[in-house]
Amino acid sequence: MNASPFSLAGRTILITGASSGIGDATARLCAAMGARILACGRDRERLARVVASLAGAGHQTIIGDLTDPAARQALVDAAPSLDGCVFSAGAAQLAPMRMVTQRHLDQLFAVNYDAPVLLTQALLARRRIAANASLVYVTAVAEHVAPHATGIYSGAKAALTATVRTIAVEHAKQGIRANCVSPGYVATPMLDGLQNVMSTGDKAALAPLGIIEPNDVAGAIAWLLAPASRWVSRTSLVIDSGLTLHVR
Amino acid sequence: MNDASQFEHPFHLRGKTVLVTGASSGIGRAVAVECARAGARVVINGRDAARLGDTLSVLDAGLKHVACVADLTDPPQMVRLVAACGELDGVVHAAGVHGVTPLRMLRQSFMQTVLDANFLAPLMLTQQLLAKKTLRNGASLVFMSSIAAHTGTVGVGPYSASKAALEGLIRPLALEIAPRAMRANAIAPGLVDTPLVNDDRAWLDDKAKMYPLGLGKPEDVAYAAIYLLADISRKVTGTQLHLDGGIPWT
Repeated sequence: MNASPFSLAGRTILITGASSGIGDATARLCAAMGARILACGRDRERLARVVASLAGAGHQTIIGDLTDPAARQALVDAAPSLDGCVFSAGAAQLAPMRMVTQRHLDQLFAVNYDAPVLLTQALLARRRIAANASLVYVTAVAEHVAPHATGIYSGAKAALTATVRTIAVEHAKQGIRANCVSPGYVATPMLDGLQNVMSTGDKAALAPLGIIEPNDVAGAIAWLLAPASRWVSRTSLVIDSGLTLHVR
Repeated sequence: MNDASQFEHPFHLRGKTVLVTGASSGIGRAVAVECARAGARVVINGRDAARLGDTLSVLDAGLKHVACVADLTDPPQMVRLVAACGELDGVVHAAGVHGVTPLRMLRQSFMQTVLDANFLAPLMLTQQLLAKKTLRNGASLVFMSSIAAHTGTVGVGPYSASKAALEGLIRPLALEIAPRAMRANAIAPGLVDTPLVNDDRAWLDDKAKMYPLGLGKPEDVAYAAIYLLADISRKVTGTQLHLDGGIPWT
């Protein structure tokens, strides 16, 4: 059974943003597929609840805000050798260009770009990423479509995609792979958080294949983590329920 | 909830019937073998009866797999295949030919041959399957594109053009079939070690150096097809999945 190319048995996988949404769903699926999870999040209680419900044993939690250099340092110090990393911590805020401020820009880049990139740097520098590991970054289809008021959010995600491609080319010699998943509107607490500025339900309903659940994205991430995708790197997998078919 | 033994990972095709074209060798054969291993009943198609029979003989037993010999560039043979399929939950269009010639020496008849095999056959097979209502709701269609649809290589013009045409089809098709929860995606592999390309080992070994993760294996493409055929990818449509060992120029 361990020979299945779709098994994660014996693998240790770091998941950021594991206390909710896509990170939560990914932790559950990967644990069920046999992985040992190192779950990172800011909310101690929610993270503990997620980890307590995971299949298997030996999972760990790390509490911290990864925009804080000390929290990243603590994570790297505590991290065992990792066979996979899922960077799903992220945040969305909307602002039309004429209202963009330095603060808006700094906040969105800090969580969506600086944190995953600098965490990757630290993990690589400290040799915490094992040979043949798979790194998966959660971006957003907004990086291609960049609709109204998402200029900085889309920009941060597009910047991340470009950097991931460099990570992939620099570390292929160790067999390390780096890929992105680029989802459309996913039914998560982050999407709920935008309700006061946009009708997210209306947007999601426009997608020809309907609302995307966190587990749909988790499935793509799990495939990218598994040996089944050993030849896939520098790729960005769009999971948008067909929302952007008319413009892609 | 903590009992892992109860868990079935979502990358399986149990209960599905999948048509695989080009199943007599290379990528198509690997797709057929791995789909059967993942629990699908497969209908395999190819032009060479003996080699198609070899594929049939190595499929996981237990389900009633079917082999149907047909040249998909010949409309009556295609009609026969569609009639033999029964209802389908997935199709992997893996049949294809090479199309390499410098453009100044290109003959229209050669270009037509390449387009017939690589573009018109999968397109018209899809048309037939839709018109004959052979595809069940939720069916997933997987088309074999190529890195060549995105890169420039001297002499590969006819092949690149045929694969680019195929990718152009994916988005309108995805929109047209979405109301029935059906999906269409392309896989764009780089160089995979198959009989289509491995008659010149020295050339292949030289090309392998371009790929940071080495050459692909037919199974790599098969596993990507399984992801796209399985219900876990039900929200993935209209995409090109690049599968190329991290090559720095896509």
